[in-house]
Parts: sequence; C-alpha cells; structure tokens
Amino acid sequence: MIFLELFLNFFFIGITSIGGGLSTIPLMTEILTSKGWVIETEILDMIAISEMTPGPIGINMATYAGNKAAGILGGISATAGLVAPSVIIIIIIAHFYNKYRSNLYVNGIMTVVRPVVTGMIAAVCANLAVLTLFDVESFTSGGGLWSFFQPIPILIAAVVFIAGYRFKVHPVLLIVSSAIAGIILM
Amino acid sequence: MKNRKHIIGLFSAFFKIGLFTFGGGYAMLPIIQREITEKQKWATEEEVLDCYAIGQSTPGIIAINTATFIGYRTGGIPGALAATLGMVTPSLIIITALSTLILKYRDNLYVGKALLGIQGAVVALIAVSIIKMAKKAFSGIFTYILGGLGFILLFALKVPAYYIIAGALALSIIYTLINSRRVS
Repeated sequence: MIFLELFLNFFFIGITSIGGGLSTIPLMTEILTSKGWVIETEILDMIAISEMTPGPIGINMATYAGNKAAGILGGISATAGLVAPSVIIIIIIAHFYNKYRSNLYVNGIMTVVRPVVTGMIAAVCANLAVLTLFDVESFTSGGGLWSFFQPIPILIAAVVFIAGYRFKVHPVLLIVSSAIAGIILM
Repeated sequence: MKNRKHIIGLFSAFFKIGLFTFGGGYAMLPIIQREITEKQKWATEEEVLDCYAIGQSTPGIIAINTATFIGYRTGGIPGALAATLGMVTPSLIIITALSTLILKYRDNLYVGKALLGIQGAVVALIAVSIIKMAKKAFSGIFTYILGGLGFILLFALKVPAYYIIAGALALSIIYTLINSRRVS
C-alpha cells in the first residue's frame, strides 16, 4: 500500500530533520531515488518549486514528492507523515515542559547533529552540482575536456551564488530570473 | 462556544502564516510575532521566542513545531492540530496544483529550458544556505571534524543517510551524558 509506505517513510524523515527545511534533503533524496519516486535531477525541480512557493520548504517538498509518487492522496500522506513526529514530540514537550532537562539534550543535539547534517547537505549539493553543471557522460565517451563543462548552467549558478550570497537577492527573484535565462540561453 | 471560536482562529491565523511566508522556518518569525503576539495576544513576545527556540532544536520541521507548540499552549490538543493543519493547508493546495501542471507540461520545450535554467540556480542557492547554516553549526575544531565526517561519509563513502544520522544522534546522547557529569 503506497500511501502507508509514503506516510512511514516521511515520518522517519520528519524525526531525523533537525534545524531547518533543508536538513530533510539528504535523507529525502536517498529515499525518493531508491524507491524510484523521483529521479535525482528532479530533486532540483522539487527544491526550486518549494522555495518559490509560500509555506515551509520541508512541507512543500513532501507534498511534491508524494504527489509525484501517488497523486493527490500521496501528497497528503507524505505531508501527514512528515508532520506527525513534530506534533507528537512537541505535544509531549509542551506538556512536560522542563527547561533545564530539555536544554541539556537539545544542546547535545545542536552541537553534534547540526554540523553532521550540514556536512551531509554539502554532500548532496556536490552530487547535484556534478549532475547539473558537468557532463560526465560525454567527457568519458571522449568528448574532450571542454565537453565536461556545461557553460550555461555554470554561468547561471555562479551569478545566482554571488547575487544570493553577496547581495542577498531574494531566492524567488533568483529562481524566476534563471528560468527566464534558461529559456533564452539554452 | 468560545473554545470552538479559538480553534477556528488558530487555524486561520496559521493558514495566513503558511500562505505568506516564503522559505519556511526562519523567514516565518516576524509574521508569527505579528499574528500571534500583536494581533491575537495569544502569547507574549518572550513565549514566542521561547517556543521558537524549542521548535528549532527539536526534531521535525521548525514551522510545524512552532505551530503545534503555540496551538497546544493556547488550545490543548485540538488547538495543536488546528494550528498545524492551518500551517500545511496552503502548501498542500499550492504544491498539488503546481506539480500537476509541471508534470503535464514537463515535455514542453520552454518549460524544459526553464527547468534547466532553474537547476543551476538551485545548486547555487543550496550552497548559499549551507554557508548560512555553517555559521550557526560550526564553532571549534570538534564541530568541523563532525561536518567533514558527514560530508565524506555521504559523498565519498556513500554510507546511507539513515546510518549517519542515527550515529550522530547516538553520539549527541553520549556527548550530553559526559557533559552533564562534568557540570555536576
């Protein structure tokens, strides 16, 4: 039963996401691609749509992936799964709210898990960069060094990085402009 | 009756929050503050910040954690469910509509080109987010080693993400136990 499978998988993603929407990416990528629900480059479409539309990124990604896997009910199952651990854990915490004790473990999780997850997101980002900015296939089939680079995606990525990091341009604006750049340049 | 009104109020307040914030978690704080403390007076500024800190540092989606926490504090379990449902409903509607459209028009030449343009941009945007996260996550050599480990295990050694996260959680418990003994 695919709805139950979606619910359970996203439940697990929900438990292990610590410190912001993007922290769901490593595990989500692994589960979605290994189940064949989404292919790896589609992860990028999924992230783009989730950043461009209102609402929490994690929720948007779950809805998109569930939809892709099993239609509207699939989207609802995945989202319910992602949300359920939060609801359960927070109700327990809010009920037995003990500032000192929860702070101790929270500190431990923040100090240890957060850097690990940050490193993992960097790993996913590196994988996706290899997929979109470089063309390994035509390079290995003897296309020469220049066929290895995909100039237009590299250019777009570089411009977006500088605009987003240095000049703090809003992500929505950057995504819309790169869509237009894609239509004109590609 | 007052109670039912409050539950509906929670749903619609968080529906609005979900509808008007882009980017989730951190981007949401100003709107939550305006809706919850200034307009509805359901919680004080301090309580919102408090539950925001909890929302950030417990497992799960920050925005949902915050919604559940405020909903529970002001309306019990029905309140928690109403706030959470309000928060996810805009996403469910918008994303369902959009992804249906995209799946339908994916083979269209222009949509395909636009998506190719977007892909390069998203890689860069993730990189920007990683730098921002790194500023909060890294302090001292221990955390750099952990971050490097997370990267190498997943990227080079292809260890399943499940195991890495489970290992990190176990390590954080050991770390807490050692630390709390040292304090007391």
